[in-house]
Amino acid sequence: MRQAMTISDMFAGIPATAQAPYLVTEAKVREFERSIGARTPPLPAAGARPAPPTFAALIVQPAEAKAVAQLLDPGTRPRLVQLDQLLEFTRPIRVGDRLVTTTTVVTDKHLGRRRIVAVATDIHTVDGERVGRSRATVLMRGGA
Amino acid sequence: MNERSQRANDTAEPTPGNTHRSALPAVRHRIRREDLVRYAAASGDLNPIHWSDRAATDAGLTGVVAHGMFVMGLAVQAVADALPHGTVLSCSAKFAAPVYVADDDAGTELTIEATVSGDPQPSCVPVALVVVCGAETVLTGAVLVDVTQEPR
Repeated sequence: MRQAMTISDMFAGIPATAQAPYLVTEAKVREFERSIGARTPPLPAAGARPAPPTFAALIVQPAEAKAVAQLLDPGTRPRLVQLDQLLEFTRPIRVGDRLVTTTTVVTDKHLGRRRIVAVATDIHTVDGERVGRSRATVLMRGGA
Repeated sequence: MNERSQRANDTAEPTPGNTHRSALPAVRHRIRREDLVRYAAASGDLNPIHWSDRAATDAGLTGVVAHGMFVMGLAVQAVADALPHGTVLSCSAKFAAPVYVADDDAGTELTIEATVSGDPQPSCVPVALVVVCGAETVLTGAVLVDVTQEPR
């Protein structure tokens, strides 16, 4: 049925279940800094060490993968290609943050055998402080 | 990449006020399979197309490819390193082409070109990003940096 549609937004606006809180640790931030060749920045005069901006991927990608997986028919294994990524910050992610996410499917378009899904993820602390937002677009081919 | 990334031009530490429409020093990274494995572990993205030729071939690729977020991470970090007293407000990337990384010592060289673009506000510096691999553009993007204060 879905294959017969050229364009649909049938899943748009459905929020995915938030993941368990993610605790940002000093060791994980340092490991991530090393993996992208970052110079270890000096400790800020006040406050906890900030993480590199794309550290946000550790928090949002599992949530977004889960949201995309929920769209798929059971047993299908489409090829997924991430087309783009946007990260916006109210403030940097910092060591000691306990972060939660809410992911929403923004668009879900079928274009022949291709399907383009855009997902948006809000990042908050467990205390409700807004930290940032992610938006990503994924192309699926075959089996979608 | 472990031997520290090479800086093509290590002059001109950019400061707010003189970065208007100017290019930041290009940054070159030579990435090898071990760098992809290290990023996989650090990021938790264990998709085998980033370390297994068999999985990559099964997925329709011609070989192992770098994580898009790894390439974006290198590119955004090049800007963050060039503006060490800034705070990144936003960053974006379009993944224009896959970055193939052969299983050899030569690895794959990426060149990150960052240019201050548009009209910088007193507080914010907009930077346009292009990442080139060989003759191919593999990523285009943008970073907005708040330069008014120390990292919060």
